[in-house]
Amino acid sequence: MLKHFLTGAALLLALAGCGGGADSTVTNITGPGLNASLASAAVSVPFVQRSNNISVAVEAGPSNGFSLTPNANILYATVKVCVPGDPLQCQTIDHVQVDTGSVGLRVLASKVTQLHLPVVALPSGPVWECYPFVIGGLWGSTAVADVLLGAESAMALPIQLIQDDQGAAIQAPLDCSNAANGQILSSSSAMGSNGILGIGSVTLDCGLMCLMGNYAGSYVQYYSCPKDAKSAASCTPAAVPANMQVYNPVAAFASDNNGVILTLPAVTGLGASTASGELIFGINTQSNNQLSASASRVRLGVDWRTNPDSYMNITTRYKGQTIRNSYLDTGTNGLFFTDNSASPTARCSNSSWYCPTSMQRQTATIADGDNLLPQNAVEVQFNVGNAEALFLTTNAAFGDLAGAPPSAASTAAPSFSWGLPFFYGRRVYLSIWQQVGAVNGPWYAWSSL
Amino acid sequence: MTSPNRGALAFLVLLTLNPAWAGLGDFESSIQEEKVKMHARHSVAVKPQYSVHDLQNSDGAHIQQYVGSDGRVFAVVWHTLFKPDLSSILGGSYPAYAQSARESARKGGIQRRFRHESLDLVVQATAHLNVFSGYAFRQSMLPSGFSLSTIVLE
Repeated sequence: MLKHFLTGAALLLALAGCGGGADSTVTNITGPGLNASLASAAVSVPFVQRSNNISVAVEAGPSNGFSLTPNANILYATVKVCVPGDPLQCQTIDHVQVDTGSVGLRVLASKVTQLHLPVVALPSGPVWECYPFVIGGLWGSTAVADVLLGAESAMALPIQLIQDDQGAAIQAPLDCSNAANGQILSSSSAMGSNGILGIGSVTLDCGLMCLMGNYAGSYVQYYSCPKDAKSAASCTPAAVPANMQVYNPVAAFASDNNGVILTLPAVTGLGASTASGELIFGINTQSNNQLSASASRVRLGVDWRTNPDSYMNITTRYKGQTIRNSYLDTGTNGLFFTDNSASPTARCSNSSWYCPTSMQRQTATIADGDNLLPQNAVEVQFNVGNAEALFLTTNAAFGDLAGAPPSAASTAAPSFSWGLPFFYGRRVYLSIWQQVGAVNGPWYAWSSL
Repeated sequence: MTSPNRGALAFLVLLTLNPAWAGLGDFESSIQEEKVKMHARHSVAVKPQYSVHDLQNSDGAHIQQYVGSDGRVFAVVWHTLFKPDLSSILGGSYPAYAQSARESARKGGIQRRFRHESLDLVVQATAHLNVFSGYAFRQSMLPSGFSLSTIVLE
């Protein structure tokens, strides 16, 4: 294994993230600049600053405390947030997670306190948002900011300021706590980041339900809370016009606004200490973002009413199963799929990751979400490594990381999430629905580096 | 199947005694309460061993409830453009799910999939962009020969 140097602090953090298995290596730590034999080399693709790109990196992250969760395969960018119309009043936020599985910029409120950003306000008061994940969620006010990503800017963009001041008057209401399964993420250690840069396949983070303010059968996503409210008790469910909802920053650019291209270096074997790449804005808008004729391309399903299983999904065929709940996602840190075959990939004993004794080369086929066209099926090969062995290293980037929740009951394959490992060694195009080039539906495309 | 009269009676009893818990494991008549909450269109497809109640919102969101010959909901499936309030959908099975979800959520970070599996209850949920989908079933209540592939593919 190649030797690599880390600062002592970074090494300690990374080791802490790996759990008990790495304890014996702690004796190797003698100070900054130490030779960390469990870290692999850093990998990168060449980066040249242009008008429509930023550098991004998979690295250890901002956590300033010990975490029980390995910080693996989290992709970060640096984002500049400014008072609307005032390029002199800005704050730069590092370690914002790049997420193609959500929409909107959400940053810890404490990172922009000096700016006094204007709130997004309805007649009934400033707008607050409860943003749920499948489990867990975020609570915070919304604000208007000019968001700068490299030389690109999204002017007067509604963003969410994640409430991370436990002493603030307006904490998450009970309905939001319920929506978040009792776990509102309100710190960089809980988030694994200082914020989320949601640049997924659509423009709005909610849509019709929030436009109407009709949250029947769900949880309230947007509230208005009267100015100077003393608690969330005075917040009420709100109908929020589309131009006031938290919005995809890329779609809000004046140009280069129809998608992104992510290029990350290949990451093999036990991983890489860090992996640095390029996020390019726009597709077919400039010389550096042309869709290659040889790229593979699949369309996401858009037929919500008759084919809900495939909506915003591609179709993956894996070991004889057809899986309609499937997508590419930088916000997912592994390849997540259930191997229901007769001789399934071995699982780790103490986690839901896969742990084959040696690396396995596996194959799946990716096709359109709706209207499966056989001629549009693309074979994709991927590696499944031993997750326990990967986590014994101090690396942050793992190309061979795969898992699935344990499942004793035999059920049909539920989903196949192509998380960050898919992106290593590829140039991946992700278009945004309703923008130029994806008016009839979003698509993904990719080519090998 | 229950007669219409018995159904109406059970509906009243549920509303009076236990309005929050109507869903998986509960009687078919409780579906009326879901319909009210979602402002949904309700249709029923009758199969030999069970029936499928489909509740559809104006934005196309579906919640389907599978009802066995004993009149009880043995499985639910959802495809929604919002995070569904599972406390009403899972009924009496909700507390077990809620505890398990809370523990998993403690992990933090962005989470896109969750699975709870205990002796009798299986819940699988995914969320990506603003699309939430999932299913839940009670193993012990599945009609004999019922194929689980039915509930995820329908």
